[in-house]
Amino acid sequence: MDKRISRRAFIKRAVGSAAVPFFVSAAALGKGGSVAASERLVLATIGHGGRCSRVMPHFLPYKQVQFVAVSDVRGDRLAAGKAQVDQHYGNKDCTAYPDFRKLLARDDIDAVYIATGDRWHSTASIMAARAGKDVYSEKPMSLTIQESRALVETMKRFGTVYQCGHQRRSVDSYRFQTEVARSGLIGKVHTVIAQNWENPVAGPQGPAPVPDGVDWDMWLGPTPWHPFVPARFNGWNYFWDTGGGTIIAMGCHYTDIAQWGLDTDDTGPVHYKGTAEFVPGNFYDVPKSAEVTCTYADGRKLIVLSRHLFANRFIRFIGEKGWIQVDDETNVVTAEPRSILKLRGISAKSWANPGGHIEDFLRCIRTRQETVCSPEKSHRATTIGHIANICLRLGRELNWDPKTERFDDADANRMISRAMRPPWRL
Amino acid sequence: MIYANRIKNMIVVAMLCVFLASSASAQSFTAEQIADTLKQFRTYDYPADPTVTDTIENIVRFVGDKPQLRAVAEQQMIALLESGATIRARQFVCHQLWIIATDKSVPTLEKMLLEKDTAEMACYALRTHPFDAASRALREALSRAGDPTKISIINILGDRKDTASVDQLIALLKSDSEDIAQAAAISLGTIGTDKGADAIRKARATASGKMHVALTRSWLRCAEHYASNNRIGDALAIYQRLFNESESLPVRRSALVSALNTGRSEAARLMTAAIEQDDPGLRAAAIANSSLLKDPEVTGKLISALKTAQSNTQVLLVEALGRRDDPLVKNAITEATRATDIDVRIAAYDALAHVGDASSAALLCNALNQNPTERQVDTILACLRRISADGVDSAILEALKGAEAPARILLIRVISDRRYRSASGTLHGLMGDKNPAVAKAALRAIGALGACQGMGNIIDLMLESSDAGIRSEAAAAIIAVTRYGQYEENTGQLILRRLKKVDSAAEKCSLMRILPATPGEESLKCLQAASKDVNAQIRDCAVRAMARYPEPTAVEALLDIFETTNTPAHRIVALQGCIRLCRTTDMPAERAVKIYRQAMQQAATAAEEKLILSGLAEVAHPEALKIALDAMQHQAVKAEASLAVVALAQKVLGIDPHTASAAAQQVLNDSSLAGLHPRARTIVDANPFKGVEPVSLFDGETFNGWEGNLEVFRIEDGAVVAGTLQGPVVRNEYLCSVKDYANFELRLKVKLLGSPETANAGIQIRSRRVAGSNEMVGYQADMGQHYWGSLYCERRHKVLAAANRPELDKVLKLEGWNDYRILCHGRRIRLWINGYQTVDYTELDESIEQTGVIGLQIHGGPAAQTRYRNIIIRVLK
Repeated sequence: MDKRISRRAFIKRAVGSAAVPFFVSAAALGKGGSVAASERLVLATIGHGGRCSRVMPHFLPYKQVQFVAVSDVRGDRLAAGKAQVDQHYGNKDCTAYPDFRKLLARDDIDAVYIATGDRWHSTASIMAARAGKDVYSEKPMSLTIQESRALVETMKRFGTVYQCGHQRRSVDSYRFQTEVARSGLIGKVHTVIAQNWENPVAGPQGPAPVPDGVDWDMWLGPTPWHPFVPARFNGWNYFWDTGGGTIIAMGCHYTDIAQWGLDTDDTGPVHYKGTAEFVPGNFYDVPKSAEVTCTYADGRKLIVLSRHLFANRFIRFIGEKGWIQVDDETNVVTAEPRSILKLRGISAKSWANPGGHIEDFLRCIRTRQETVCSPEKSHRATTIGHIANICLRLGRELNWDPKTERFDDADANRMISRAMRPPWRL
Repeated sequence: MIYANRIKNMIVVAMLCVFLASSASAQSFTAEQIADTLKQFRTYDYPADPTVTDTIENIVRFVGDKPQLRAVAEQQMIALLESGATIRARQFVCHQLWIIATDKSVPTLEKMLLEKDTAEMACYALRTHPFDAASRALREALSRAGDPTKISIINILGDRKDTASVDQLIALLKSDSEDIAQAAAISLGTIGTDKGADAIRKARATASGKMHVALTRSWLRCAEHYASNNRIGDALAIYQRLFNESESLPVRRSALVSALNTGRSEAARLMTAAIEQDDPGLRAAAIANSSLLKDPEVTGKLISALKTAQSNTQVLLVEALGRRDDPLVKNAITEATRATDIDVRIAAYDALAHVGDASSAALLCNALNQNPTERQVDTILACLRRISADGVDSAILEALKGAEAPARILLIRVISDRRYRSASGTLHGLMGDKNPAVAKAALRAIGALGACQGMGNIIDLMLESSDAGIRSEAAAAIIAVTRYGQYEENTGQLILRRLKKVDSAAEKCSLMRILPATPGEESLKCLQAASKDVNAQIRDCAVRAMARYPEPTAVEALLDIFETTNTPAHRIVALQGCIRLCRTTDMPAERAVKIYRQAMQQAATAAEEKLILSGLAEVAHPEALKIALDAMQHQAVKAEASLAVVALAQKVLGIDPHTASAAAQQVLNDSSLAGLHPRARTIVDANPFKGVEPVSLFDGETFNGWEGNLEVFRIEDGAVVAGTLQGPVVRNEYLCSVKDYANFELRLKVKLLGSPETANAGIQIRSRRVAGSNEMVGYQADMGQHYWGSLYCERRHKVLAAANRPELDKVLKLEGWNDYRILCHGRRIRLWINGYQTVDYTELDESIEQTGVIGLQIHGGPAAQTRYRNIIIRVLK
């Protein structure tokens, strides 16, 4: 198969129809960089922790964006969030809400950026959509398969523009990698290997007084009640009730890229088989290390690994004639045959820069078109991580029907959804 | 090369599979153990050691497919819930019952729904409980539970789509508690029966505030219920009603999009109405979601909207039309390419990539001649590359012939990007174009396409053109066509013949630069000779060409230059070429090691050593690791050498874990290399031998730990003995370990007596007995005849890997004791006899089991006796 493509053509194709860069058109910008009132997008944040404070600077350069409110259940983060926004605008206008429901009740807010812990992602997204807001939510989009399916339906029902924070879809290296995988340059792809790092292990801990300024009940939100335990508060990622370990926290990025490169955005693997290293006495629920082989109906395999160090993570597509890998830590692309790499345009932006992803979101708010990480695609990618975890928790192989979104295993089917603590619901 | 890569990939995948298979070891439980564990769990609370929760999770895993034990586990969990167990224990158990509960748990859980402290966990267990009893219990509890639980139950009944609860939920619409009434409204919508929908409609007519909002949302769900039950009229009536201007914008947008989601052409009326709205959000939503309606009539409506819309709406309409599979679309979009607004024109160009044909291609090419802006050019070129229909290529080629110079250059690139080889004739003509930019573009396209109408002409151009740019483009084209193209003539011969004819050094150099593209004995010889030419320019050119030579045959010649040249620049060029060849070709590791060692010995500066180390770090060979370790002693290159050591230790870990981990330890010992410590630590920790103690499998006196035919196997002088020298051995017999071993190093002393032509025995590994037979299947480390030291397969009945017998004979003691070492790790099996490695085999067949028992064999046949002693195993991680 001769599909050599020149570098320039390649970049063009990868960028696709983004040849209409709406936001750089001078017409949208008024004099001195101010924006006509009709073009302005009023934004607010839900959950203003470390992630939000790192992502927000990538929103702020867009002149049409104006943040007017922040919310967080932690007093310290709420204050820091307000300070971050106020500092940028040089005023004191940003409103801080301990309870995001008050924020959603404001009619002037067009869209929200959600960067809470995983436990709030889909509930907050759905509530925002119902309030008529568009949503950019951090990953993973949900805690359960049912949550993200409900999210997909809600976004569809309300015509909401939803961008999932799988921002690697907007990053040049991954665009290139998936384009190579789909183009046949490495032959028919038969295996994808995606490596996350391994989860930590912790000793037992007891309850402690809830720190000042933390609304613990709101922090827990829809998830089962637990007393305040510092390890849970800080390590929520490693408890089934509030997270799912790296296989979902980071893994969803890679399953998203795998689905993209395999052209399976509307479906997913049908068979899961895995093993996990559950460490006895570990205070955290999730396994220390794990690997799950997910097989698609046509036999292609996606091998999801959780092991080694943070810096070792990568995603590799292996085809009959070669392979291509992105080293996630360094954003370096390697491939065999190496000549493939000549086709790549070089961009300094890595996964750490969600600028392109934000631009896509802002454009879609205007055009109401589908974002690059639309609800359905993101749900399918996230589902792989959820099923992998169900497979590990049950300790057996599972068959999944991507059409009906059911297992052929009664126990596993129960784990598709969980009861939510009142008054929360999807 | 491709084949070799495939094997590499297969090995990677195979290794992963082994890890999967070997790490699964499910714990098993008896009914008593289950009962004990759960009894003990009743007092579990913070901050107890959580090991017991792991045990319970293992129990849940274990009982998954064992109905009786599963019933025991459930029963014990119910007992725990009924006892005065801690809240934490009860919550944990409810989360397990979520997975395994049957209707037996329901009465207990129902009681718990009524208790403030336990209602939430009971809801958790019942949420997806598949038995009707659960729904019944939830309905029963609905009237009696406390308020927050009531909301939970209402939510769960909704999620369970429990139609039997509709009446109760309708009654709750009138609840005094606003939260309960709203929850009931939402659940009714989720369940979506006709009766529920009716109740919602009626309630909404009089409701206000938050209840009105909840009922509206619920009503939208009812409309979906109607639409999916083929009552499209009823559904659209709701959407039409909610699209009314008196509703809020989000509700109107939702009504609109939901109507379009039905995919029914009747919804087109709403779409058209929305496009005519003042609100840009509604307009955009209608246009973006128009793709949900496939009806050609909808295309017509979008086209007519295009005629009157504002330009920013036109952009959206053109984009939407571009996504439709409808022949009507092309003309409308073609029309839009003539719009006055540049954004509309650009959107139209872009859309043509999807819907256009050969005439559209011609139109796009023509637009390039009309002073387009840079943004237009980018869009047009992107479209020309993507557009696919019959005749597009030839239309572009036709346009190319008539185009002006700037457009012509762009179209040459498009032709090349589209891989249109039939254009090579035209391109051949254009490479002589008066405009040098056109000529260069044509040459570049010839190279990219690998299609050429005559190499001689390009060589002439390379030698004779007065334009340096053209000369170098011509050289690049020759190289590209020769290396990647489909060109019949032997370029190498052509170049070599020309070389003899030309006189000037400049011409000779031009030709020599091409030679690496046509590797062969003659090319290499020619370059080697030239590297010793009297003319410095020729010498320089030859050395540099050799450094770019693509085949490993040049390595020795380059190494020779590195060692002997007087020109410092040539030293480094030759070394770089040498290392490049070692890295990029499939050179055997042994040869690469030899070259690196030689180069290292000759290296005169730290810079040279660093260069060598950078290449050396990629060679997966223990010797490479030794070279790097030695280099660590040299302070000037210590950092680079240490990096190489870590990289090599990682590679060598699978081959020689001892050496690898010792090397990594050396890096760890040096605090000045702290940056490398995490990686080194991983290698030290990954050493499968680390912390593994040798264990004796045979005590010299009893058959403890073994099973087999004890009439055949006996113990003499601390050795297992089988067979006889007095008469024939009746048949194959095996003495097998009771336990399975997957990854291990096995060492034992073996002796085989009898005729060397006929006596045979061996050690089975990762093997199984064949039921009802004396035979086994699996791998055998073989002994006797010509099989000594070979790996035989008693499953496939063939030698998987044979020993090099002449080499083995140097150490093998035919009548005496031999030291057999067997190392099985992952899919790799290695054998040594008396320290000499006979076999290194990797199993590529994933279906072959990689665990099993160890079996000592005596082979049936003429008189033979075998002895085994000092059987020591180290079970690896």
